[in-house]
Amino acid sequence: MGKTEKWLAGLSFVFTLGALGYFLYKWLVLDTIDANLIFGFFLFLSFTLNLVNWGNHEGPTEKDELVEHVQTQSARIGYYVLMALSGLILFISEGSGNFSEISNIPLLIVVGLTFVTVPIVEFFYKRRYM
Amino acid sequence: MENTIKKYREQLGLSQGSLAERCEVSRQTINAIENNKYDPSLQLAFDIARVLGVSMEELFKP
Repeated sequence: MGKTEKWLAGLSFVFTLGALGYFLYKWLVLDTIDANLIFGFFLFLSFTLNLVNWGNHEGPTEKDELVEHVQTQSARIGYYVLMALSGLILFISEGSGNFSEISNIPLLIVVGLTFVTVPIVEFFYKRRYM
Repeated sequence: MENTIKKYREQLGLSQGSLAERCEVSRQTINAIENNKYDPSLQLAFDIARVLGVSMEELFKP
């Protein structure tokens, strides 16, 4: 990572912490939840992680087969991590592991969609070859 | 997959960077292959063998 990228990563990290700190302040002190700050936190966090990983906020600029291998494997693992996290967030936010007690139906649908997204994409994608 | 890339590369006096440049991949890729952390595609294995001037059988052992 060059000097410029290091500065950008540092700056992006400061913005990430700023958004997180301001969100916590509003939540804990002012008792309000700001969706803009949550979105901003994750946006800046993704910039920071991409800069640290690849030296560019959009990901790798030059790809070779090892980079593609890393990205493919990460996407596969990331999908299952996201599946587990969405289920975890659903059960923690509802305070119950019992499906009959769940009231956040949109979030339940999102959790359900994580199970079927890959098979649906595979169904259409395999038609290109089989 | 075991390989002898480092041996042949050093015999030719090539650095990982220059071998990577000639194979049009990153130095990290060559480093990962040499350390048996990554198995290259057939195309890249051919490219490495061509640059080092040895056969695939000499370079890679299953």
